[in-house]
Amino acid sequence: MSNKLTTSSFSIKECHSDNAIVVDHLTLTYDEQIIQKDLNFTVKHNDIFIIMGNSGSGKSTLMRAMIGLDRPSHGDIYYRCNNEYNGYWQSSKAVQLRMMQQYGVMFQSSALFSSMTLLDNVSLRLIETTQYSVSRIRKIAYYKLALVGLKGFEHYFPAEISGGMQKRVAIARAMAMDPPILYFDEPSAGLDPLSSKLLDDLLLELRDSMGITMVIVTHELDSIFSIANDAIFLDQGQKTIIAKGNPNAMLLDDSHPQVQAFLRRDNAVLSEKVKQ
Amino acid sequence: METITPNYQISYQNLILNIELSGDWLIDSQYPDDFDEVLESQFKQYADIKKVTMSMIQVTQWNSALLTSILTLKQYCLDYHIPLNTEQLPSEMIRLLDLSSKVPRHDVDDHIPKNTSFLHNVGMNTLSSIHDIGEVLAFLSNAVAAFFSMLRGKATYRSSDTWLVMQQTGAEAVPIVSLLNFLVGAILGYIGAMQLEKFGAEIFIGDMVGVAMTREIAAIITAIIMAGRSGAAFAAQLGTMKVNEEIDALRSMGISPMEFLVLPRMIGMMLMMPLLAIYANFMGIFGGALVAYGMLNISLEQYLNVVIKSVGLNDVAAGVFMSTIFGIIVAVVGCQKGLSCGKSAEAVGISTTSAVVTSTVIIFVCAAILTVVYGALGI
Repeated sequence: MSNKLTTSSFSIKECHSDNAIVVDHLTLTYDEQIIQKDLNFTVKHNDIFIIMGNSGSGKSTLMRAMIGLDRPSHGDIYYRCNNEYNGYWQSSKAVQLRMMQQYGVMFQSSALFSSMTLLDNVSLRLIETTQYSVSRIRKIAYYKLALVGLKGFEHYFPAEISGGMQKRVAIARAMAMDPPILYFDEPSAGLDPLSSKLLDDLLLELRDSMGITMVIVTHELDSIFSIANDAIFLDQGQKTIIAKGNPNAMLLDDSHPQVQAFLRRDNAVLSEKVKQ
Repeated sequence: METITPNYQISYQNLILNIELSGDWLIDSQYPDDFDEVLESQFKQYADIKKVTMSMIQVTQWNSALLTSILTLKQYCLDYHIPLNTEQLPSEMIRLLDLSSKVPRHDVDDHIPKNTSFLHNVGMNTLSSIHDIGEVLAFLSNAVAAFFSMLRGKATYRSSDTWLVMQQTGAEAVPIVSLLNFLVGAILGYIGAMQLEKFGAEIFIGDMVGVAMTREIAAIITAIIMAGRSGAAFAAQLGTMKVNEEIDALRSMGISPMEFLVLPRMIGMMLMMPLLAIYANFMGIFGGALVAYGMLNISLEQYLNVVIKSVGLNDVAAGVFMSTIFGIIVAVVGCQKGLSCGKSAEAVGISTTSAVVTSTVIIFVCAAILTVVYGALGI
C-alpha cells in the first residue's frame, strides 16, 4: 500500500463494502482558523487504524468530527448504515442517531460518570437505547466488565479504581452496544509501559474475536508499530495528511522528514544515549 | 436487511440435553428473556443429565446478549458437574467466552450494595452530622490560627486575592443586597402598617422597621444572600481545585491552603459583611419609608425623625457585630466544604449544596443565640 498522499485519486466511489468509514474532503476549523484541510482516507473493516501526528496537529479534532461532536467546515464522514453509505453531517438527526449505534467512543480522560458504579456506567446506553430487560442488561454489563478483566469490580465507583482500570471500563462502556467500530482517543495516555502493552493486547484480542474496526488517536510508537494495520500522519505545518499506509511501510519511506522524525524519535534518543 | 426472530429448541434424549438455536440474536431483535430461566428449569427437571450440547448452526447473527446466556449455561453445567460440549460453537465465540474468564474474580464483599434499615440510616446520618460539626470546628480553629499568623506577618498569602474577594463578595453583591433588603423593609413596613393602623399608632412604623432592620433582619438577609452567592462559590472553587489536584500542588510546594486560599476569603468576607449590612439597613429603612408614605401618608421627614430617635448606636453595633460573625461563618463553612470535597464532579455539587445548607442553619442558630445574649446584656 502506498504511503503517499493521493488525494486526486480519491472520490466518494471509495464507498464500497470493504470500507467501514470513508472520510471525504474534510476541512476542520477552529474559530475560522484552519486546523486540517482536504482530508481524504478510508478505514477498512477489521482494521486498526491509527491517526498520528505531533501535538496540536488536530488529531483529536479530527476524531471529534468523525464521532459527530464537532461539525467540520467542509466535507463529510460516511458510515455504512443499512447497506448504504450516509454522510454523517448531511443526514437528518434520526439517521445520525442510527449511525451513532455503529460506534463506541473511549475518551482520553476515560470520561466515566463519577456518580455511577462501573456497572451503571456500562449499562447506561443499553438501558436508554435498547428494549432489553433490566436483568439482561445487567448480565451484558457484567460480561463486558469481565471481558476487560474487571470481574468483581462492578460495584466500585470510578474514583476507587486506578487510571489503567478506568481506561478498561471506558472500553467496556464503548463496547456495550456491540458496535462494529470503536474510537479511542489516546488510550495509552498516562499508563505505564506494561499497562499500555496489556491494553494493546486487549485491543488486538477484541479486534480478532469480535471483528471490531478500531480508529485510534495516539502518538505511542509501541502501540503504533504493534497493533496498527493502517495509519495517517497529520502535519501541523501543511495542515493536511502527508503520509498514509502501514506504519512499518512509512518507516521505510524517507520522503517526509517530519514523519521520519516522529516515527524514529525513540531511536534518536537511544542513539544519543549510546554516544554519551 | 430484515432480522430473523431468535428461537431455541431444547430436547432431552439418551441423558443428553440438546440445545439448538436459530435466527438473529441481536440487540435489535426480540431477545427471548425467558431463555436463561428455561435452561435452569431443564437442569432441575432432569436430574440425570450426563452431557449438554449446544448447536448454533442456524444462528445467522449474534452478539453479547447471547454470550451472557451461554455464560449462564456454563455456570449451570459447572454447578451440576455436567460437561458442556462447545465444539459446535463458533471459534470467535469460544475466544470471547475464554477472554471473559481469563482474569479471576476480584474479592469485593465490601462493595456489594446492602439494604439498610431506616433506623440504621438515621443513626449513620446523625453520626455523620456530628462528625461534620467537629470538622467545621477543627477547620475554624485552624483558620483562626492562620489569622493570627497573618497578624504576626508570617502567613503565606497574597493581599491581591483579598482585594479580589472583597470586590466579588462586596461590590458585586450590592445590587442583589439592595433589592432584597429594600423588599424586606417594604414587606415589614406593609405588615406593620396594617397592624399599627388599628391602634392609630401609624407613626411607629419607622420605629419598627428601623430597629428590626438594624438589629437583625438586614444582617440575616445579607448573610443568607452571601451564603447562597459567595459561600457556594467558595465551595465550588476550592472543590474544583481539589478535583484538579491544585490543592495537593500547593501542599507539595509547602504552601498552606489554609493561609493561601482560606485566609483571603475569610478576611474579605469579614470586612465586606458589616459594610453590606450597614448598606442593607439603609435600603430596608428606605423600603419601609416608601410604604409609610404610600399607605399611611407619613412624610419622609416624619419617618426619618422617628427612625433617628428610635434606632440607637447600640442597635447598629449589634447588627454590625452579628454580620461580622455571619461573614466568618459563610467563609469558613464554604471553604471547609470545598477543601473536604471528594474527587469527582458530583462531589463538587454535594459540597456546594452542603456549604449553603450548613451555613444557613448555623446563621439562624447564631442569630437566635446572639438575640438572647443581647437581651440578657441589655444591648
